[in-house]
Amino acid sequence: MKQWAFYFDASQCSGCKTCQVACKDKHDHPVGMRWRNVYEVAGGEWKPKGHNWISGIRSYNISMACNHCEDPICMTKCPNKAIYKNGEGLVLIDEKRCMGCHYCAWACPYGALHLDKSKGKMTKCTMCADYIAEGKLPSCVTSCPMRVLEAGELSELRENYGINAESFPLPPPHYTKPALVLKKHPGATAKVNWKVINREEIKNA
Amino acid sequence: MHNSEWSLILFTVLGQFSAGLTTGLLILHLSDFHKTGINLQQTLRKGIMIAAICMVVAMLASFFHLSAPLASVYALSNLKHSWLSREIVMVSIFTGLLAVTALRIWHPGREALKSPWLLLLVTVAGWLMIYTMARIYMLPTVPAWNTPHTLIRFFTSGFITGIGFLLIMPGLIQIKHQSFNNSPMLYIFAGIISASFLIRLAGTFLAGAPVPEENIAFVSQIPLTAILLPWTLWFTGSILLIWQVLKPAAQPTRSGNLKKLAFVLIILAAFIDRYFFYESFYRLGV
Ligand code: SF4
Ligand code: SF4
Ligand code: SF4
Repeated sequence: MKQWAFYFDASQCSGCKTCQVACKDKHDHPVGMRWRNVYEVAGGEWKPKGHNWISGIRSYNISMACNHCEDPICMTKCPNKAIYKNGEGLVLIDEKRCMGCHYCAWACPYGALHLDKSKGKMTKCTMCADYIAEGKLPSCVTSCPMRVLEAGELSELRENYGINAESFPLPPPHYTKPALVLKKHPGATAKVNWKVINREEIKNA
Repeated sequence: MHNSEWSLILFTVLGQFSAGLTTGLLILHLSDFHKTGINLQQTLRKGIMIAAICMVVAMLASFFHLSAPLASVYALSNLKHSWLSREIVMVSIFTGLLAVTALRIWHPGREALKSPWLLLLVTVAGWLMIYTMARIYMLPTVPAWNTPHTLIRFFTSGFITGIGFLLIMPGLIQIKHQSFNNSPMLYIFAGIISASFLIRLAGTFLAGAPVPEENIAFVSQIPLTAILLPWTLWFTGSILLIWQVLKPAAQPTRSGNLKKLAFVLIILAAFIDRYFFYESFYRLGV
């Protein structure tokens, strides 16, 4: 089976959030709903050196939407079987069956599910399935000015970029097997007190 | 309130209360009630009716949690994998059995349930319902809930509130028979409440297990008062109830009022504790 996947290069992402805006624009989302979110991550501290203070602060960004996981916890937990995987490996929601219980949103460790309050139905990134059907790429991918987002067949992305799918704050991949290849920011390997610093912006999005 | 919707608090606390109450009624049925002067028929009638009403209110409340309740017709589609589907089955079975029991007891001319089998069936269904309720929250990606403490919390809440209520029910509270005061049944009830309290206390330590070294963006910070407040209420309510139940009632009215006060403290503790249970939500990742 084909498995569409995202590639994201955290080492070059500028945190401009064009991908977020392009997604909102394409899907005409109301204020407050974002299928793609950019997490601003920072850690480290300032240290005194003689009469000076030296910055040990590091930061990077993670642009994240649904990863159309190979073992989607949202799908297995949904009581209504409202979440399914199509032949392209895309994890999609059958609106008719969704009762808006939020259970999937509790379980997904990528914060990918969002309630459409006007319809009372859960929604999430479809990887612009309509564009894909037309042979085009998802809106976030084509809009990224740094060209750090890609979409393609998981096995090909893994061949090109490796198999990593983890960097703080993303969970270890064994929970859902995300269809994601991620190039870590080189600073992200440091053992510092990493935090998501745009918490207010991201929370409940 | 983000995760701790009032509807879920009401649904879980009332559902567990009903299951605890039917457990108490079953014990009453199996015990030495005939020697105590308790009118079993009256107590069963009231108890089952209250449990059934609470379950109906709980079920109605649960619908307020859904953003698209009409689609709940599909809620049994995933019995193979989803504890939420299984819970909905158990809630329906428990409520259905409660309704059948209530109809049997309230049918004019019927005696109290002579055989305890139906009550046993309702009680077991109630326990299974509590089990499925707890399993819903034990998600591998939610370390705050994925602990045996969730099971302990849900079961003990049901037993303490349900049996606590049985002890203040008018049918029992006004019993003045000396034989009832000395009944081993009271010790059994007091024992269940004390054991539940102690198991909860032990469970708190299980919950305090360190979070695995995994990436978590937003860990919830529960203030100390959030732990101390329900615990103070659980403790005061349980001790007061057990004391009033076991000591010979010199002044039945005063004792009755103190028992009621104890139950109010217990039920308050259950609701506050459940509120903080939902507030404690955080998951791996983002
Ligand atoms: S548009 Fe590209 S560079 Fe900008 S935040 Fe998104 S992924 Fe990063
Ligand atoms: S990222 Fe979340 S919503 Fe998307 S498929 Fe995986 S578990 Fe489901
Ligand atoms: S909110 Fe909808 S899609 Fe999510 S678990 Fe509930 S019914 Fe399924």
